[in-house]
Parts: sequence; C-alpha cells; structure tokens
Amino acid sequence: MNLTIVKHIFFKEMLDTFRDKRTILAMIGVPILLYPVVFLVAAQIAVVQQNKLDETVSKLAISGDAPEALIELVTNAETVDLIDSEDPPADLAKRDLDVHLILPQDILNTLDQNLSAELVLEYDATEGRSREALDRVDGLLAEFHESVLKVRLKERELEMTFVRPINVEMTNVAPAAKSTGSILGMVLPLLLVVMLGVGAFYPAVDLTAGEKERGTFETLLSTPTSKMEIIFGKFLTVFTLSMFTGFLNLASMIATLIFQVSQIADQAENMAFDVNLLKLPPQSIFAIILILIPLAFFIAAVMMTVSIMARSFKEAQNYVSPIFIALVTPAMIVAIPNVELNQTTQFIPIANVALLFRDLMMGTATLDMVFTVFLCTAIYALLSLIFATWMFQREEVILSDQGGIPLTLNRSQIRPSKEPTLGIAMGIFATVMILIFYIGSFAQAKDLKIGLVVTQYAVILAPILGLLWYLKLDMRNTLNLSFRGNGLSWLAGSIMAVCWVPLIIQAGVFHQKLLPAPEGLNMMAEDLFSGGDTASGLAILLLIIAVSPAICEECLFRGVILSGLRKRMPKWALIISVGILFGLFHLSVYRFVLTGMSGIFFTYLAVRSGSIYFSMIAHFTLNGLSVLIETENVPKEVITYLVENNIETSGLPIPVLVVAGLGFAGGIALYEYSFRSHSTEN
Amino acid sequence: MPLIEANELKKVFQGPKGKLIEAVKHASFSVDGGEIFGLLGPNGAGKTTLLRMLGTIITPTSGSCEVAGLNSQEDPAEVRKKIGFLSGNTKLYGRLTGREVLKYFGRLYGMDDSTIDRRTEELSHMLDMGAILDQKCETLSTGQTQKVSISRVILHDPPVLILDEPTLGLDIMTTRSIIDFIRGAKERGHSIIFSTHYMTEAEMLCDRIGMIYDGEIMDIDTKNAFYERTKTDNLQDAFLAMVDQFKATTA
Repeated sequence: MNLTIVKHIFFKEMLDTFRDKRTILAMIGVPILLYPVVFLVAAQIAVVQQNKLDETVSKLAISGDAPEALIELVTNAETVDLIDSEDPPADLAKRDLDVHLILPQDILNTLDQNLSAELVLEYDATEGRSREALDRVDGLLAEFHESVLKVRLKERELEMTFVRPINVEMTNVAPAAKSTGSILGMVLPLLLVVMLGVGAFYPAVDLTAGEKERGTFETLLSTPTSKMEIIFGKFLTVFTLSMFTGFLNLASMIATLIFQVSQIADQAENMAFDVNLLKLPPQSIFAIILILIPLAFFIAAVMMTVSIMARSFKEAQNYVSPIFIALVTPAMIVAIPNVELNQTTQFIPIANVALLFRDLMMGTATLDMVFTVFLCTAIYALLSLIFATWMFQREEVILSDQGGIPLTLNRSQIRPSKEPTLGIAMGIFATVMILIFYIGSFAQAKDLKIGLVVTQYAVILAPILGLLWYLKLDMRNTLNLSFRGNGLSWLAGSIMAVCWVPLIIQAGVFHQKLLPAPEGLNMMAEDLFSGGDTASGLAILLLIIAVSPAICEECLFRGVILSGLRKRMPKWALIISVGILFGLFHLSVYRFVLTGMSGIFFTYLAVRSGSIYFSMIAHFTLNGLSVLIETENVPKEVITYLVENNIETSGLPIPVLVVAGLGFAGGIALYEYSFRSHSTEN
Repeated sequence: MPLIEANELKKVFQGPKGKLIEAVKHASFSVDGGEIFGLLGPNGAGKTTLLRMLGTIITPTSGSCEVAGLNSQEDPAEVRKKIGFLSGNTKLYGRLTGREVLKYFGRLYGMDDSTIDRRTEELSHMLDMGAILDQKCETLSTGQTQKVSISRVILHDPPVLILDEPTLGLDIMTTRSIIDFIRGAKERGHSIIFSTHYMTEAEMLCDRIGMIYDGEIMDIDTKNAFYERTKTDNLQDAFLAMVDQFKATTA
C-alpha cells in the first residue's frame, strides 16, 4: 500500500464531498442552525408554560364538612381558590376543577377524638395544572396537619420532639465533577454515537454506492491504484468527516446549552437546573475526545462496509439505516442500573465504549480497561475494514448491476496462492482475536487450564488451518515450515533463547516499578501454576503453557501474520510490527511491553532464518523456564538464591545480567554468521 | 512483438440461483503496435467482459494475458500503467473540474505534478479544450465530457488503448471526434483494441476484426477476408453469415 496514493485519494474525496451542497447542509448546516433553533424554542416554550402555571390559581373543591382551620388556610392561600362544584369528578374531567378533596363524613369527630382521618385527593395526572394544584393543596394539608398536631401535643404538654425522635438531613457528598460525570456519562455516549453516525452516514454512502451509481468506479479501477489504497483513502475520508461532524455537533450543542441555561437562569430562577452541571473538568473533555477516535473509527468502518454492498445511493440508505439503529442500541447499556465495565462487557462493541466513557467521566476508569476497550474497538473496526476490502475485491460487488449481498463463498472460485495478502493476514488475526474475546475468555473463566488449551488449539490453530485450507494458501510457505540454517544456527538460537530469560526477567522488574500490575494478575498466575509439584502435573503444565503456545501462537504470528506483512515493509519494521501485534494479543496493558519485547525477539529469529522452528524453540524455552521457576522445579540453590536476593524488587545481580547480555549478543552474531555463510553456500 | 497477447481467456460468472454463466469462453488473440483491433458483436456477446479482463479490472477464471510484456495476473498495477481504458462506465467526477480530474488521475498513475501540468496543456491544445478544463464536469455537454475523458485516457501516454463501445449513445459530431482520436492514436503508434456493435465504425477503422458471439470468438481476420469468405460486401451481412455458420457447426 502506497501512502502517497492514499493521501491523494483522501484529499480528492474531501474536496469532492465539500463541493456537494447536500453534504454541507447535512454536516454543517444542521448542527449550526438546528440545535439553537430547536433548543431555544423548546426552552422558551417551557419557560413560558412554567410562568403561566405559576400565575394560574388552582381550583379546589371540597366534599364533606371541612374544619374551620382548613377552610381558613385555603382561603388565605393566594394560589388556591375554593370553588363550589355540583359534580366534582365531571368538573375535573371538564377541567373546570383542578383538584378535589374528599373528607370523610365524621372528620370533625375523628379529629376531636384524636384519631386519624382518611382524606382523598382526586386529580388528573396528565394535566400540568392539576399536578401543580395537587402540590399546592398537599402543602396546605401538611400545614393543617402540623397545626392539629400542635394542639394535640399542647393538650398533653408535650414538645414537638416527642413525635419526631430523629431528624434526617441528606447531604450529597459527590464532588461536582462526579455528579456532572454521572449525568453526562448517561446521556453523552448515546448522543456521540448518534452524532458520529450522522457524520459518517452520508459520506459512507456517497463514497461507495454513490460513486457506483455515478459510474466512476470503473474509471478508478482502471488506474494502477490498488483496491486497498482506494478503501483506505475512502475510509480515512469517512472517518475524518465523522469526527468533524461529531465535534461540530458537540460544540454547537454545548454552546446552545450554555446559552440556554444563562437565559433560563435569568428568566426563572426557581427552575430545577444546576448551571454548574455544564462546567466540564478538562480531563473529561480529554476523555470525550479520546473516546471519539475509536468510536468514529468503528462506526465509519461498519457503515462503509454495509454501503459497499449496495449499487445505488437509495439502496445503501436502506442498508445503513437499520445498521445505524443497531449501532446506537448498545450505547443504551449505560442506562441499565448496575451494569459495569467487566470481563464480559468490555468485549461488546459500542457498549464497551459507552461504559468506559461513563467511567472516564466519573474518574473511576482503570488504565487496563482503557487499553482493552481501545484495542477491542480497534480490532472490530479493523475486521470490518478488512471485510469491506474483501467485499471491494469481489468483482460482482463492484461491477455488477444486480447489487445485493453476495453470499456465495464457493471455494472453487478461489485461486490458490503462495502466501496471504496483508488483508487476509490481518483478517485472520482479527478473527482469532474475536474468537478469543468470546470463546477463549469464556472457556478460561470456566476452567483456566482447560480454557487455555481450548484457546490455543480450537481458537487459534484450528481457524488458521481452516482458513488457509479454504483460501487455498500454500501452508508450507505461509507458515514458514521449511527447515533452514545449520547446526551453528541451532546452537546460536538456543544460546539466545536461554539468555533471553534473565534479560526479560530484569525487564519485568523495571516494568513492575514503572507500571505496577494489580494483585488480580498475580493471583491468576498462582492459580495457573498450581499442581506443578508432581511429575505428571508438571508435564501437563509444560504442555499447556510451553508446548501449546510454541506451536499455536507461533503459527499465527511467525506464520500467517509474518507472511502477510513481509512484502509490505522493510525487515526492521516487519520485526517490530509483528512484535507489537504479539504484545497486543496478550490483551493486557501490564503484559504488553514485555510480551511485545519477546515478540520482537521471536520475530527476529523467524525473519532472519525464514523458518518458524527457531522462534518455536525460543518461545518454548521462555515459557518452559517460567513454568520451572514458578513451580520451583529448578535446583534448590537457585530458588533460595532468588528469594534471598529479593529478585522481584531489586532485580538480578549485575554479573548474571552481563553474562546473559554477552551471551545474547554473541548468539545474535553467531546466528547472523550462520545464515550469511549458509546463504553464500547456496 | 505484440503489445497485447490473450491466451485462452475465460470468465465464468455466478448468475442468479448459483447458475454458472460462461461470459467468455477461451478467447485467444494478439494485437501489434500501431494496430487497431476491433471486437464486433451484439449486446451480451462478452465484449465488455473480455475488455475488462484485458484492462485487469476483473480477473479471468482461467487463461492468461500479457500487455507490453507484463503478465496481467502477476503485476496488474504495472499493466494498468500501460493501458488507457475507456468505456461507457468510466465516467468523470461531476463535482470536480476537468483540470482537477486530470490531476487526480495523473497522481494515481504516479506522475509528478509538473508532468501532469505539462501533459494537461498539451492535451488542451490537441483536443482544443480551452476553458472546458476549468468547468465542473457535471456542467459539460456530452461532447465536452468526451474530450476530457479522452484526455484522462491518454494522460499517462499508455502504449495500449482499450476502448469499450466508445461511441455508444453519442451524437454524430462526438462520434466523429472519437473516430478521429482513434485514427490519430494509431498514427502515434498506440495499439488499440475497441469493441462496437456499429458495423460502419468497424469497417472504417479496424485493421483486423474479431467477431464475437455468445462468449466465443468465432474468427479473427481482416474485413476483406471476411467479405471473401462469406461472399458479402459489408460487415453486417458478413457477421450474420458468420453467426449462421457458427450456429450450424455448434448445434
């Protein structure tokens, strides 16, 4: 993929979109004009209505013998009018009456005898004036209640405190930022999804189905541009416009709200609206911006994928509209009480972002959650984009006049190829990741050890082999199964693999100081390494933790992904990229750096040799030695040494590190040399 | 050395209800430099599919093809640099001006901006475009649009031109400008392969003609050879005679 070409496509699409008046109206006109008008008009109407309600006098009818004191209270009240009514229920229905108080027949007696009287207030809950009247009359009745109570207490020479043994005062201790966060955290995610969707909707449809309809696709396809470049250029445009519209909407909405609040504050001070609510702390604003990126990425990718399948603008709108609703729905999860961001919800697209957003606003989000949610969203978006690219590569989707969704996946139509494309490799990576999210994490939650085996073979290896077979890819070449190198290479590889272990342990000590891992992770590790005290238990542990990843994970990273990426970039970039993907694969911010470093080392072994076996051995050595150390299956002296020197906090002694470092460097030199001499032989 | 060489090209589509449709059955031919090769056949004969395979816009189900010595399957991007492709479906971006369209496509062909500007000026003179280039494409007449399209096709000066029914639906004036353009391109040494179902055009232009019917290239020859074999004096009769003959042999 040539980034210059992607840039040209991006700028052209932006220019093209901004020349379209419909787009300008939908993207810029609506937020700038619509919100102020709608909000201000709505607010004005609300204020006027409230004022009108405050000024109106509530009409009350009383049935039964009212005590003098009550009548006096009512007649003294300015906002309540006592009226006569022949048929109060009918008058209530006709709105000639707002509220009807029914007193029991013997109320005067009941009160005199110090008993309790049952009163009934009839009102119409659907009428604002009736509800207002209810409040007012209820207040009057409370006053009446108080006065009767006072008389009764006085007769018995008791104080008011006698009937009120305790007084409760409720104080909200949540800081203003948290209150704001909790309220905005409920509303904003939904709004943001809608706004980003509105921004992505039009360009997504226009750049794909619209271009098809205007008949310019074939022109574009006749140029040397690859479909990947076209897709990325277009995606970048949709993403940018989605972000742009999202920001514009947000800004316009906030500006309108602030203006509106100041207006309301002037006009009706008694409105239950806290102006402080809109004072967002800077970290919350940063959180909003941060979260917009993966959200927009995901929404843009999904909408584009769907619109690519349509042949006309109209058809695409029919496809995208239900998808839009489906995208908005998970954001409503924040409104459900007690739903938290946890091991399960962090994998649900959109919902995870909405929940993280709420946590960020309330200041309760953890770094690990931010990492996982961003990673998940990126993977979903990537998969969607790969799906879009794949769709785009199908001639019947791009050129057919029939439209519709082609679901024919006939294997006989697929041509065999030597190695996967970048898209296929990333598609396999994303597929495996999503299977891990759902199947792997579920299985590991049920039973950690069995779950790990299931993850390695059923979730990682099986889909890889299945997809390679289905796509008719050359297994030997894709998985780098050829034997390469000579005895010297193996010696060098083994030296490096062994020396790597103390080096990575030392890196782990540094890492722990910079970014201390939470207790939960260590607990899980203890659980995992249990049962290593018997020979059979140890063998099983080695099989699960050392052998399986050395086969399955290596096939994924040093096999498929390496093959898909290797023609796309120089060797050093390839080694780092695969290493980073390997780090991301471990799904934890606390393990990312260390696993990423090991990933870079393993990838180097595979890239330099062109064979997967060296990285398999190194992977096995690292994991195997970890198992042996954790289960204390190494000579006693080593354990006592490790414990006595407090390795976990102070690190390994310098001589050990020097030896390991020199050994590793020597290993690299030998390894390089073995392949140099090897290649000159050929 | 031929500039285009098609070898047993075949394209199978999945039709409705999963039925397989052979749009093109084993097409083989070659076109030399400076030659005009015409594909003559009715609608639905497979002309567009065949030309799209040559232009690497779609991939053949089987068979191979080479353009300017490059294999289309192995290096489609390089092959496309050697080709100028024009069809009824290669429209221009309506909201961009002609100049912007040419700049965009020039960049996609990997040309630098100064070369694009120089080429644009040359073509503006050659096709007498003047102010047309500074108008948005959606405001142009059919003839003006066609001129910009032609500029787009030859902007990167490709040795091979693939023109799929370039005169379909055009008025006589615009048609004449296309025909002049094809003749001029031949003089400048381009190889041209174009499809049409207008017999007169084929008679006027083609060095050799491939008659295509029902996905099959019935025969390739010069027009005079076709007249002789079918004992006719125009391509229309010759084509119909060929179809009758073809049906008789395949039935």
